[in-house]
Amino acid sequence: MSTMTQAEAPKWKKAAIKLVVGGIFGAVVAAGGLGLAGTALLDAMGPSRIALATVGVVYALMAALVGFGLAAPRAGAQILNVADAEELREERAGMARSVGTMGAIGVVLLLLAVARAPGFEAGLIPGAVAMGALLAALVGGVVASWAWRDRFDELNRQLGLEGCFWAFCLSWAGLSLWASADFLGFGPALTAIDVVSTLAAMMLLGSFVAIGRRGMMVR
Amino acid sequence: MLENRVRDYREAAGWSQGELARRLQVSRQTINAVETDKYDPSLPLALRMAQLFGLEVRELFVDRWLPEDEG
Repeated sequence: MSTMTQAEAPKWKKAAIKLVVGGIFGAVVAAGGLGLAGTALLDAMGPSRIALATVGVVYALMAALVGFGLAAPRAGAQILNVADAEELREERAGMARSVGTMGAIGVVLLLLAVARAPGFEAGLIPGAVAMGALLAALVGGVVASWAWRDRFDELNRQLGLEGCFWAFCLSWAGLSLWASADFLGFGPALTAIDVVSTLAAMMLLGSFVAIGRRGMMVR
Repeated sequence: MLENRVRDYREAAGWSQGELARRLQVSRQTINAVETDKYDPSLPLALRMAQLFGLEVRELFVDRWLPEDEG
């Protein structure tokens, strides 16, 4: 037992360091993004668009971190949830697919957040561009899922199923509560784009829950 | 989770996790998760693992479950 405890301590320390480094990196990037956007744009965006953009930034950041890990495996192994640099080299193809998928989701969410729409004339891009990007990403996702259907092993599939299960449960609870509160006049209004933000955020959270429940948040 | 002796037999065979993963056509993450009792493999994968090591599945995976005495 004592051996196990001694072995577990460094893992948690490593995880805590990764969490702190990730948090600082995310905060710096978010602060930089907010600075670039400017207060006028942020005021015009309002909370729903800012929430959507934040979720998009999280996806994009995760894609960037994994991409960095693939480009520099030795440094990447220090910040990513992998056993060592060799794992990053061995799993390059699968992780590259993850980078593409998360990056595409992040970019599309960001485009939606800054697209011009009725009541948001300060948007940076035409709404049609964001809608086109969303449709292209959806079609690309379907095609890629079909093309990659044999590239996932059984653990990938199982974690995917469990992640989707938790994402659905969390979304159902969260959106039902929010929509009901709005409907009954108790809470803030639930806009259509809030549903998009919530589903994307819950997909991430659900994946973390699935991975965490299996004790796979630390390696 | 089942207890298993995959790491023992893999190391006895002189294979890395990556080598075993390649032979079984799964990811190294899967081998790591099985060895650390974080994931019970499917029956087909367990059968393939046992076959690869020349063992019976029950020699590789240990289930402490015992049927209740119905008497």
